[in-house]
Amino acid sequence: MKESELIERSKAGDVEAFSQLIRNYENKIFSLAHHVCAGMPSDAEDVYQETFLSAFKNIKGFKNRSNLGTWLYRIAANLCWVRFRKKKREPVVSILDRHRTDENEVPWEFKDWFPNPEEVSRKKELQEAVVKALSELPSDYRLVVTLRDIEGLSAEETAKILKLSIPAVKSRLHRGRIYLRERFEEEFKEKVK
Amino acid sequence: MKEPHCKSLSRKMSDYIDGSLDPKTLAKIKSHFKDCRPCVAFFKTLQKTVGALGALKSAATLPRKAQGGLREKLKSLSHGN
Ligand SMILES: [Zn+2]
Repeated sequence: MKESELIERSKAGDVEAFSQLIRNYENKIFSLAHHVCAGMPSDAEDVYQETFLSAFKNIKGFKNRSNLGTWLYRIAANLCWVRFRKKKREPVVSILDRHRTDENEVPWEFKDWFPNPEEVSRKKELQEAVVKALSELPSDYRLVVTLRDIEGLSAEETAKILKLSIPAVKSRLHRGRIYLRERFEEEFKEKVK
Repeated sequence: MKEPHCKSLSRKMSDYIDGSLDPKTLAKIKSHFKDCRPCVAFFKTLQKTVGALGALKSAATLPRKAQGGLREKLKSLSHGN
């Protein structure tokens, strides 16, 4: 059955059609929730379930011309965001400034202690270190970094999902990356060398 | 990374990684890289940072339990209301 047909049936309250419809999106939404709610597995599962429950309840309001993936990502991103606001365990944006970032202390020699992407996908321990660093970012930044660099969405799509301008997406992404680079430097220098 | 020039170029490095830099700035960065090792180091490690994040893409597996739980909740939603 075509996606548009599944959407129509879901709008009429057909749970079977909706279950089929979300099959292509479930892993993506869970992955987003998992990385944004880094280190809190039950939160990720809750966000995943709530996203689709909310989508089912509100699918009548979904405009057929829009992109279903974008719509679902937006619901999930909002749920993550609300969660972090509620729990008030939000790191403040100033941690991004606290770091020496683009100051003077970049190593003069390029040291190859940085893990390669292949190493990260192979080693659980490295993955955990990356997720931990990610969890230190304020959620606004973590959402942008997750959508762009983990999920691989474009700046345009990310801007649509988060209702931000493209320059705002780019600036958050850059600041987020700079912070993580710094943290990886501290983290991996010890472990690899 | 001593000169102010390095600092202003470092702000462009994300765009460089994403391939969204205008040709003029790109040429400027490339020629700067020829005689500024710290900037090259900074760029390479930033690039690896982005790569490390990308490597997480398939790291999260949706638990079957959660998937089944969602199906149950959806069913009860449609019967209940
Ligand atoms: Zn330089």
